[in-house]
Amino acid sequence: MSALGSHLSSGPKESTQEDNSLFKVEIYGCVSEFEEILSELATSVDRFKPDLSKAQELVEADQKLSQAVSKFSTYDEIASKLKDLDKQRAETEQQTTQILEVLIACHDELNSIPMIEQVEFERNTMLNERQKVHSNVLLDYAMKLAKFTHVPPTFDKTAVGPNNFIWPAEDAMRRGMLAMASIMASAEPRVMGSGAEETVDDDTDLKGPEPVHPRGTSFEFNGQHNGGENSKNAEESGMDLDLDLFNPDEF
Amino acid sequence: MTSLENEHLAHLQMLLGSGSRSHQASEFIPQLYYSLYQLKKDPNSTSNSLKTATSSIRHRLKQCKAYIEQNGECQELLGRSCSEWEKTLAQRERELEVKRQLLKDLQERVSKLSPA
Repeated sequence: MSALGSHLSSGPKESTQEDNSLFKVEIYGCVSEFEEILSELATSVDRFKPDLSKAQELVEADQKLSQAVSKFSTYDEIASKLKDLDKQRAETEQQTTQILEVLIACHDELNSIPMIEQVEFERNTMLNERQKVHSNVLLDYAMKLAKFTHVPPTFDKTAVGPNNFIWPAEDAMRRGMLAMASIMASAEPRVMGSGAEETVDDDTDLKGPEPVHPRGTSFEFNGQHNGGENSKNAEESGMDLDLDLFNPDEF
Repeated sequence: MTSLENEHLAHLQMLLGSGSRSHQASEFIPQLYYSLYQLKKDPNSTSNSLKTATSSIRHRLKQCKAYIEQNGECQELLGRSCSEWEKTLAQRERELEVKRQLLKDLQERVSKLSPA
């Protein structure tokens, strides 16, 4: 190792770290030692003063060098194992990186999904809001509909009067016989005020409400006068008040 | 002949001239012996000197040293003894095994979490 030390001191300026790493390399020390002894031996021989001890040292240095070189096969196996381990480590790290990326993506995706409590709360709030119909919303909706709603095209605004309706006008109804009869009927009990009638009223009250007669079929405008039928019903009821207010001939 | 896969080791072996006889002495000694024989045979020749005759050997030695100096990867590989490397390799294998076990555990946990 003295040769190695002398080489390091006489060589170019190198960093201390590199010196240490070179000092650790066995083959480097053997080569340096062999080189130095060989140089000394050659000098002694060239000066015609051969140093046999240097020759002996050279043989020993050569044996050391050979032993160091013989370890190259072991170092080669070590290098292969290192290469293999580095490859496996790189694959494992790449796999770990991919797994971490997937996990991070899953984490972000899960965070973006709302929690079930939040969903339920929002749904309940929305349902509560739906139950209330605000007046302004209703008015807004009505305003929207009004823009697209029109008077029926068959309606004639210029023609005012009952002729346009299948039922009599309200004034005609108030002046009609039915209205007069109802007024008379309501006025008579007040005028008469007899006790017999009161007893009858009491009886009727005791008997309960009169049975409800089934309503006649609603009027169907078919252009035919069905006054006979009405008069027959009036005869059956014992009253002829001429209450048929509808005259289809007017149409 | 021992063929080395590592390019640095193969290059050093070629420079030291011991590729075909890794367990024997290098070829420097026979060459040196032949040079001494030539010098002894003709000692009066002015061009004959042992230093000149061994210049090729010294050149190869310098090449070998320069290659090691310039190559950090080679220094790292040859800077540790074989026993040290065995320990280092065992340590690295254990670390790798721990990482694999971690990944295996993670895979089992993910498999349990994911629906069937």
